[in-house]
This record gives sequence, C-alpha cells and structure tokens, in this order.
Amino acid sequence: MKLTAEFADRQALAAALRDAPCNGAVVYSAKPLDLEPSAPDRPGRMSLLAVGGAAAAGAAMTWFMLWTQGDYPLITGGMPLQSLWPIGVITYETTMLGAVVGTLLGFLVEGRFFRKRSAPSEAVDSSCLFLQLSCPDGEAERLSERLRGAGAVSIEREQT
Amino acid sequence: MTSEAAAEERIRQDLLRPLRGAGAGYLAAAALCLVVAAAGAVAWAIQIDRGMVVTGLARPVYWGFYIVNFVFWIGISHAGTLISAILRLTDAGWRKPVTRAAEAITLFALMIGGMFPLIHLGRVELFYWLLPYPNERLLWPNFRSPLVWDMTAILTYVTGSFFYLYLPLIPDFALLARRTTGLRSKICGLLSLGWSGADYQWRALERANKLMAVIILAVAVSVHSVVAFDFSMSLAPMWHSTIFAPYFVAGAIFSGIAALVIVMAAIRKFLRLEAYLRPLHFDNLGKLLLLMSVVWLYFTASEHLTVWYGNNPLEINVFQAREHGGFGLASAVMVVCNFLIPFILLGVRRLRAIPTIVCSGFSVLVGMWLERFLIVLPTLANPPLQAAAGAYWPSAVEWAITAATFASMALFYLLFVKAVPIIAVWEYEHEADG
Repeated sequence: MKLTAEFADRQALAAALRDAPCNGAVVYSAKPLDLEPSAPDRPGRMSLLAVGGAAAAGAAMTWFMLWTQGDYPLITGGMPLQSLWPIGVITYETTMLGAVVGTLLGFLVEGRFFRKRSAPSEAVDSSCLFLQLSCPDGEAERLSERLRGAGAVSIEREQT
Repeated sequence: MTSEAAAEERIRQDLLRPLRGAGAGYLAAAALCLVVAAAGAVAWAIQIDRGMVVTGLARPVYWGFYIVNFVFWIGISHAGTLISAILRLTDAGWRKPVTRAAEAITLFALMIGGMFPLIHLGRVELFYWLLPYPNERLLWPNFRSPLVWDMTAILTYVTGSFFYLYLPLIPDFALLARRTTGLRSKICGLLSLGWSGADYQWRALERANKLMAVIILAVAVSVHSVVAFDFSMSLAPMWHSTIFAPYFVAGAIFSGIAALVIVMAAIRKFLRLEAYLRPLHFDNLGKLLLLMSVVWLYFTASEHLTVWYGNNPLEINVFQAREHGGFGLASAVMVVCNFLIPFILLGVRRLRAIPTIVCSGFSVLVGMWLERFLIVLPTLANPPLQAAAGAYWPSAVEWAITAATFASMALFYLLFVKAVPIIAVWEYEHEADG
C-alpha cells in the first residue's frame, strides 16, 4: 500500500517524519526543504562519477593525441612531436568536459530520472508538501492515523 | 491559504508574468535586433562569396575586428559562470535573483564569440578540418596549435555553461509545464525530464549545482587563458608576455560584470522586477566592478611599466604606437572608460546608485572593447621590420558583422526572457524562506 499525505507546512511534515518513521519515505515539494536530520538522506556518488568521467575523458584524449601525432608526424619546426606542455591544454579541457558529463550522469542517476514513479503531480506547483511512503496493507490504517495526528491535511491511499 | 502560501503564489505570479504576451515595445525592439542581425548575416554571406578581400585585413594586419570581437565576447561570457559560480560556492544569498540572468549572458556571449574564429577563417566550409576525424590521408589536426586549443576550450565551456544554466531550470520547466497549455506545456514537460520535486531530486540538484560551479570556475579561467595563449604563444612584441593569461581573465571578469549590470538594469526596468532586483544587488555588483577596475589598472600598469623599463627596441616601437602614435587617443579613452569613470562613479559612495552603476557598465564595455582592439592592432601594424608597417581600417562588412553581434545578443536575450523566468522561481522562494 502506498500512502501520500499532504501537509500545509514544514513543521507538520517534520513531525510526521519523526512520528511515523518508515523506510523509503519520499518528500515532494516545490522548493528545496531544509528538513535535516528528520528527512532521510542517502549517500551520493555524484562526485565519484564526476571524477571518473574526468579521468576517463582526460586519459582517452591524451592517448588519442599521442597516437595521432605518431600516426601522422606533422612538421613541427623543431618542436617535439609529442610533448606534454602543448597537449596538456587539451588534456585539461577534455578532463573538465568529462567531469561535466560525469556530473550530468550523476544528477540523472541520483535524481532517478530513469525510473518511473507515481508522484503527486501538483507538488511542483504547490505550497503544500507531500510525503509518500509504502507500508504493508495491515499497517496503513495505523500509519494514516499517526500522519493525521502529526498534521496531515489529507491522505490518499493507493494499492501497489 | 496561509500567508506563506499567499506570498509564494505572489512570487510565482510576479516571476512568470513577463512570459505572458509581448507589448509593442518588445516587438519593435525584437524586430530592430532581427534586422541588424540579418544585415550582419548578409555581410557574412558577401564575405563567403567574395572572400576576405571585402574586409580591411591586409598585410601586415591579418587580425582585425573579428579577433577583437572574439576576445571581447569570450570575455563577456565570464559574467555568468564566474560570478554565479563564485557566489554559489560562497553561498552568497543575494546572488539568487542575479544568477540566471548572468548564466544566460555566458551562453549567448559564447555562442556569438565562438562564431568569430569561423568568420575569421574565411573559408568557413572547411572548419571541420579542426576536428580530429579519420580522413583518407589519415592526416590529424596539429594539437600543438592554439587554434585547436581554442576549439576544445570553447566546446568544453559551451557544454558546461549550457548544463550549468539548464540544471537549475529543470524545476522551473516543471512549474511551467503545469502553468501553461498546449505546445509550450508539452515542451516544458519534456525539458523538465519528469521532475517531481522529490527530496532526492532536490539533493541531486544541489550536489550537481555545486559540482558544476567548481568545474565551470576551472573551465572559465582556462578558456580565457587559452584565448590569451593565442597571443602570448607568438614571439610578437607586447604579446609574448607571461602575465597575459591572468590579465585576460581579470579583464574578462571586469567586462562580464559590466555586461551583467546593464542586462540586469534592463530586465528590472522593462520586466518591472523592481521588487526582486533591488538596489542592494546593483550596489554589490557596483563594488565588484570597482574592485575589478582597480585590478585591471594594476595589470595594465604592470604590463606597460615592464615594457617601458625594458626598452627593448621591438617592444618599445609598439609601445610608442599604442601610447603616443596613431592609437594614442584610443589608449587615453580606454583608461578613462576603464578606470577614471568607474572609479569616480563607484568609488564615491554618494554617487553610487543604479543609474551611475549602469553608466559605469557602459563605460567599461567601451573601454574593454578598446583594450582588446589595442592589444590586437598595434602589434600587427608595427612589425619588427619597420618598412613592413601598415594600417588597418575595418570595412563595411566588418562593421555590419560587429553590429550584428550586439543585436544578436539583445535578440537572444529578448527571446530568453519570454521563454523562461529570468529569476529562478524555486531559488527565490527558497531564499525568501530562509
């Protein structure tokens, strides 16, 4: 069973998160909420993806430059054919490009944009806050009562 | 409805109001910009058809308005990302109504600035030769060439700036998808990527914004350094300088802030956002502009003093041309515009108000364009072999293309303010909340 509770203010929502603890609770709002530590937090891997993307792109481009300059040796007027100084500029830029792509990927993964999830559609354009949680069917009534007690304005139930 | 909810609704309505309809003034401005931009496109078409002979470029001056404009616009592009990223990382609350306007400047200025190397190429249809792709001769680009560095740096900066602008737009696209109808609602829905406002999405957005701010800072500094390397990697007098990269970066931030001040004042007045873009924002940006004016003077004085004291015959020849020769007047105007006017208008507390800050912004833009002009032209017009000295006068084609870039910037902005809220709704609500 999925419960979606609507709250008029942040204090009521914080109380609900405290009084009705439940795994997998998700808060929906039109603006970021500073609910810590009541709100569930999850460790992020976005920085790792950014660093990984940067390392991969930088290394790949460096290898590519070294290979292509050896593949067709251009006349360089005495400048070394393969030198880290001039190719360092492009290595740096592609490293940063990899970091940008890695961050973007991390954002899409952490924001779960690839997953389908039924969310209260009005949350993005509402002053109200929504708390969605899953529970066994037998628990729904008891949990609903606790949410109402915490200040939920309305509660919707959905069979999953 | 609680008072908090009513206040939030008022903010949403205020910030979404500029997206509705278009008045006669808006349409007239857009039409004017379109005509000037179209004239520039025609001028470029003429240049492609007849070749570079239609420009004023001739021996020994092969870099003219196009390279001046390239450096100028890449400099303007530093408005958004640098200012927005620095303020985001330092958690400066007052930045919130400013950042999107600044980030949009970056993207548009980069799009315009990035066009100039292509325009300057002459045979633009061969631009793809810069790209490393396998061809029948297995001939690869020369990665030691600053031209290839430019392409890589600008590509990275455009990509990064686009996503840096786009990520905070996602919640606003979701809001717009609900508040609009028809095709616009569908497009906004697609661009919102299915944003639901879930707590993990807000956290992901916050982390991504912070990370992007760090990355974009590093990229922004490197991009203008690479533009400076275009000059300093040559052995030409007054170009081959070790401080050129930081000098260019400082100048870029300086001109970027000036552009931001002007754009913000226009938005404030024409979109009637006086309640959101307050005198405090202009005052803070005015102080930043004043600081950068002094930093610019420091770099300029260091560069000039070193050259003058060294008295290297090759360099002093260019130095004399810049300070006392044919470029002397431009040099004097540059110092007045970049230092004297901002220093007086922004340094005297009683004079520092929105109109004077905007005046300083215009003054700095003129001064910084002249600074780019004075970096490019005197060195080329005064080569080491005196007998080869020459002059440059831009042709009508170059003037038309230059004018078109300013019109294109205005046009992009006019379209942007009608497409998305120029102040991030969710960020402002969050700020009002805090």
